[in-house]
Amino acid sequence: MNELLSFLIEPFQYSFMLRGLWASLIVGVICPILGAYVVLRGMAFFGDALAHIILPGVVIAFLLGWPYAVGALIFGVLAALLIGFISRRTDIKDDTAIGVVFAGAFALGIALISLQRSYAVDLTHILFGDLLGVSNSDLMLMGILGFLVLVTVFAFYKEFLVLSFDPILAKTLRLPVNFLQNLLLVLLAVVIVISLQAVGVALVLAMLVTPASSAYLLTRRLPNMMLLGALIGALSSVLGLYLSFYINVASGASIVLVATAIFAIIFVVAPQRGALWSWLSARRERSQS
Amino acid sequence: MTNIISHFQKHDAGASPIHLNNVSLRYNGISVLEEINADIPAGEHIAVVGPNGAGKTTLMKLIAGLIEPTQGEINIFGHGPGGHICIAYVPQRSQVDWDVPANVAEVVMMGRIHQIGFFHWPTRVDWTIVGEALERVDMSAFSDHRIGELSGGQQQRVFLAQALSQEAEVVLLDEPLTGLDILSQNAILHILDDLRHAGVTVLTATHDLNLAAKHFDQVMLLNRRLISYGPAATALSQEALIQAYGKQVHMLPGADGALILSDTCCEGEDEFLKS
Repeated sequence: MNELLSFLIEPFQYSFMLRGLWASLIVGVICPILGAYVVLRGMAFFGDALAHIILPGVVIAFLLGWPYAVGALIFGVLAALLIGFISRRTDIKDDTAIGVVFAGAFALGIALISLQRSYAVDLTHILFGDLLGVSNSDLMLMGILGFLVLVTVFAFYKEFLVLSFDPILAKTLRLPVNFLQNLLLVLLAVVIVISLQAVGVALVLAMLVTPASSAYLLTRRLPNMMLLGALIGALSSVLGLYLSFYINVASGASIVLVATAIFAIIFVVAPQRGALWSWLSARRERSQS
Repeated sequence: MTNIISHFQKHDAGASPIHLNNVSLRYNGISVLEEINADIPAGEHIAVVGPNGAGKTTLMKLIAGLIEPTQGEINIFGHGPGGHICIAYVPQRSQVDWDVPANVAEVVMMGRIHQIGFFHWPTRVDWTIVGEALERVDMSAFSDHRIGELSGGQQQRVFLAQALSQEAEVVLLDEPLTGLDILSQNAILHILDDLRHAGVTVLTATHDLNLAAKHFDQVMLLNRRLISYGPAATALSQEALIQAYGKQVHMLPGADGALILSDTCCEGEDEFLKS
């Protein structure tokens, strides 16, 4: 018993681990709540692109000595609007427009970093996160931004639900569709900024879609999907941190791996929508006929 | 029902629910609708019929305020459609995401989003209204079901319940009966009759001329232009039908004039007008 307790407590006797725990919990809870909309509206590619697009923003903010979140937010919002503009004004399809802006901005970010001397160190931190390097002020910023995201998602819950359900209905009901769509993009950019230090731009997508889609397989209503997603996200964060501490794996990667493992299990065993269930019911129908 | 005035656009006293004044729409140089004039009084139930590409869907979208005419004027209770929340529109091939985790009651509640208002949550009154709407379309038993689990006819009924909960005064239905069995069709027609008696104006696009002639008191025959508008017996006269359909319609002499045999159906109309 004591051994188990010390096993559980030991990592968090280090203050950087404790800050890492808080940071990963914030990410684990906030990402799946917004991620529910990313999953429902099929915005996974967009989310991944947006995460990479903010790279030059982070670098420029770093060069100018601004908080990285400011640069990331500016770039995220600009890119979201630019992608919308390109796909609205030309025959270019959405995902192509996203691809063009995504790759271009990411290249710009890498180019800017390569001009710096400390190339290797910083790039890996931005790409894969630096959970153990989270400072108190970072944690404060993450907490405030996360709180704002939660409040906004709560406040516009029914409007976002209608928008996800049927954009034509949203228009007929005279909802401010463009405003809501842009608001969702801004929220996405904010959540990516929050997650940057925990999992990095390359793995943010996993926190947005993996716990949320696990929850999707288990629930029938959106609020439950959000709550369960947040629970799975938080669980992934904590288990991932232990994994990272005891077997010495990069923290962002281990958190994402835990989330993926949870998804794999739910995908197989989930009632009604899981793979095993579908296979069994298909077999039952075959044997009946 | 009729005395609900939207916070968005007030209704002029005495103005008709739908007034179309010389409405035309061109899209990429192609004329989709030309000079449509019509005045539709409250509580009418009108079938909008016409061949493929006649502009039925376009007309619905114009009245719903989802697209703008290139010429002419549309007035809903005396004002342009854009500011109204009293219009319910059920598209033919809706862009509904059936995978959204929402149950039937929640989908019906969506119709009340403006009555509830920004930053507010549904009250007990709203849930009562939703419950009554579900009862009127005979879907109370499905209130907890996921919307994606329903059959086509049940989904149509849920959309009608949504229009009821919205307290809509103009209801636009694009091919609501296509692909439904006779029982479901009758159930929906029955609900539409209910609406009409409550003073709601209902426009139903259909490709089924027999149905239009049998169940609707007024018919709009459309083929880019408004060919006829009036009681089925006169609006679907032989000359009017030939004018609208050319040789697509086969006619046989029947007891009371003409018997309409067939009309090719309906898929793919206004494909280029994605909104």
